[in-house]
Amino acid sequence: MSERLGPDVAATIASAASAAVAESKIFPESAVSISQGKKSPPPDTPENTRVRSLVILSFWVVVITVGLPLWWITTAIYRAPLPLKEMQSWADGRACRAEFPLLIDVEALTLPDPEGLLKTVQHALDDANDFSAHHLRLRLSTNSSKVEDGEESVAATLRLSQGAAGSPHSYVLSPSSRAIDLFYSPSYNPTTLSAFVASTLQEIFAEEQQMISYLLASSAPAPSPSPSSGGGNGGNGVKVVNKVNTAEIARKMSRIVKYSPMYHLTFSLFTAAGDPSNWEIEEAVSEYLQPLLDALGGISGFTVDSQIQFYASLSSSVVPTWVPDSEKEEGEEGEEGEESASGRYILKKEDLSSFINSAEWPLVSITSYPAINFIIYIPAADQSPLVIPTSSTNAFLLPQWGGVMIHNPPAGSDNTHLTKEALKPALDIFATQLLSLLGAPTHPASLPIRLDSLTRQRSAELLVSASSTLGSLYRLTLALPSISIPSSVSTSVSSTLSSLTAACQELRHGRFGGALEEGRNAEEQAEKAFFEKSMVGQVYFPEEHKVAVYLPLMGPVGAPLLMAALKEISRLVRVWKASRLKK
Amino acid sequence: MKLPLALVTLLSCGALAQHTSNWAVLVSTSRFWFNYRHLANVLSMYRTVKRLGIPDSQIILMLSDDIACNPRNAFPGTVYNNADRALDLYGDNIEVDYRGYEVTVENFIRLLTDRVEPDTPRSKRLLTDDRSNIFIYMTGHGGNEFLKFQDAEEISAFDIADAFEQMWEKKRYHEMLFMIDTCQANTMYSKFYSKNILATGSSKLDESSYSHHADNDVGVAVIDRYTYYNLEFLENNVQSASSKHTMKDLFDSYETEKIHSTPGVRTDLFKRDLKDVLITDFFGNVQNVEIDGEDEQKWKEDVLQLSKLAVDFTMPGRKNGTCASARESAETSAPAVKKVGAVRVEGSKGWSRNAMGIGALLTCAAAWVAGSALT
Repeated sequence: MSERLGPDVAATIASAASAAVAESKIFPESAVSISQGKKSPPPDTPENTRVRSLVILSFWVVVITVGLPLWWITTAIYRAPLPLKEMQSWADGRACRAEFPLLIDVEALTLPDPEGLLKTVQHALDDANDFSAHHLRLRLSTNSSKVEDGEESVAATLRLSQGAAGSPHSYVLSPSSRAIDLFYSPSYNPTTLSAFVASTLQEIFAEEQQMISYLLASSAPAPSPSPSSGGGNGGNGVKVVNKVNTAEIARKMSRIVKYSPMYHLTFSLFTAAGDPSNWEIEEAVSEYLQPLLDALGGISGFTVDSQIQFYASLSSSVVPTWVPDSEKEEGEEGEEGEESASGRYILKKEDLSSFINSAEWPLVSITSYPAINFIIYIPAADQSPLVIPTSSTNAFLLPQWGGVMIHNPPAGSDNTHLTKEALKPALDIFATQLLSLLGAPTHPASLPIRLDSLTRQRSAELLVSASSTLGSLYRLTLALPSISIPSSVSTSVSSTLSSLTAACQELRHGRFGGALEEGRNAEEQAEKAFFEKSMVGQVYFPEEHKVAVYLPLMGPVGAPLLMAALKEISRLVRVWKASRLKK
Repeated sequence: MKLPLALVTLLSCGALAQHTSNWAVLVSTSRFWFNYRHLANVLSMYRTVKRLGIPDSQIILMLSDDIACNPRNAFPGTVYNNADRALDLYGDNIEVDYRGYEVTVENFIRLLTDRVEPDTPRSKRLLTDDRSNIFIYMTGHGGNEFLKFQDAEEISAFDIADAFEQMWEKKRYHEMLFMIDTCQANTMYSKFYSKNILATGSSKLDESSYSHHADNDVGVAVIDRYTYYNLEFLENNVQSASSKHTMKDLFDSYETEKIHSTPGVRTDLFKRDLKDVLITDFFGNVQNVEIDGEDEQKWKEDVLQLSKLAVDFTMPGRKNGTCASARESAETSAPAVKKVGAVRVEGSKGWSRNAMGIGALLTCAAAWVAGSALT
């Protein structure tokens, strides 16, 4: 070793060694190692030791005061504060008890004691009602009351008038307005009349009430039955009725398209051959359908387009069965009746469920809002007439998707052109289907009342869905503590909460249009909060990953730091012990 | 609100009874030519669900590489899943939604949770709701509780489980079938904790999944065993969307000797009995049909006529109340926005334009002549 280092260095080492030997007299323990030939560095001057301690200390000070906070801050997950308690109470349905007070104006000019009648009817209604959130309020209308109509929408106007002598009580619902004309028999008895009025009103709003109670009930989380729930108004009969209808209502609800402020309607003409080559769909829609779309405009908007697809084939699994006219009812699988002159092709229900040839028919919507499809299918001449035997209108509805009508053009006519008038029956069916897809109740014949019901239903739906989104967000933030929550989520949540509160207020005051508006806003903000796009990220890192990330960084930096600190501490301990020994 | 408990449970049962749409998310996660079989696996599944009626708009196909156009492909533009090369999976009707480097863990989780950019096209989004059944198929290279994406990153079983939980929370599915073909596949679904998920995988912990056979002309393995036998069952037994075969039949058809690994099924999160679950509940798209005029004969009123008559009552009714302005704005913006189609451009025939053109040309020519004359 000394040869390689050169004489000077070797000399220095030698002198140092001798110095160590000299020192070993002072520290006899170290003398052992020296005697075995191992060389140790020269002793530190006190100055050096002090400087080294300071250096190590300053490193540690930097690491602790700058490094650690920096690491903490840069790796911390930002979680904006959320009003968790409020969110939960909305999700549980405790924050707002949705109420649907329907105001009914009663005009009874010919009745001697309208107030008394009103009182008894109101009592009867309240007693029979087991779903208290949705209730009817009667108001005797005078001409002066028209002025304050502005603040609260009137659900219906009941006009009482005397009917023909000897006839029983009856009522007529005007199909195009909110008026109910009730004719009481001249020889009336106040109790039967009030019972009749009450049952009439109940009948008219029964379906809506069921729908809303279904909506609100489905929102409630896992049933936590209060013992009192069985008690109350004792309307056992009513409950049985409810149960019977539940399946029906569930079916109705399952076909409803989720609420959106906009829908896209696509009218498609699929023809199995090359004709008709054009159709007056634009004129037909603007003439026949537009008024309905305008009427629905307060609830949702619509965009419309149309398309024609020639040579649109049915999918191979749909095989219509030929049924000659003579044996309509008996043998569906009867002999191939090609020779039989008259007959028809029928589609069974299984055929209908795969009728839409989604692989080949261009039914893809590119709009960002939901699309509803309406299809007119014209079969080829050799498959005509194509009939759905159980349908009187040759049409069917696909829940949440749209409607289909099979159109068999009359034989022998000019088939190249579908006129506006020829499209009218199809549009009639589509209009009915559209209403049921949107969720309008089928029951009262009056369109305005049905649309009002739809407004209320949709507000209930929005309220429920926004609340449940809040609940999801609430549970999500608790379940995934490592997900970040940007401040925009917090803003959206508070905006949702204020909209929900406003919607609840509007409902309570019977301003359903305003409630829908607020509900729409609440829903939009809640969705925005939940689907905040920065709330993704790989949430889960296994421990090995963390080790793998930190070790290359912390190893080279941390090991010298730690070793230096340990050495320094052990030195201090030694010094301290030595000083104690001296004493 | 105070409905009796019986009614509430009845309601929830009713709500569980059916789905109205079927969606499929098919993901291959491997890059590079030698992973040909993973893309073939996915494309075979794509073909199957499409055959059984799920429309392209409801299939999210994620292909991590473009092997059909790989320079090493001896049959350019095609992908086969069998050495007989009878069926080109990459035919003319393929819609790939996420391609190549778009197939990442982040995009996959964004797709599931729908936390996407606001301008994401509809075809790249999983627009499901609480009545949608989703079939998720994944294939690639994986290990214990992870699946590699693009040889660059990996998704862990925990991430998928959390994503599914978020979907369940937001009511983004009704029922889900999760199928995965990768090594140690069964570990991938071991962390799930959300309801209504049926999961199946090709191999258990510490087991590899193997390829079925190679095509010597293509030069690589063309399909994995587990997927192969799934497809075999589906092709032979589920001919059309009206098939009555159940998931139990499918799971019973798995044979360890054939697959060379132990396929797993996880049913504890799934409520229904597998005997009652049709294969087409996940692989097909059977739409419920309500035949018009079957029972509701009584209210066959003329809605169109009514809406015309009722204009006075539906429209002015909207104008009063506090919400008048909002409603009006909705009305003005909403109803029937007409889509502008192609517009014929009228060629202007006037002489003035021609004259201007000639004038411009002449000026240029003069300038050029002048320039060359000056030099």
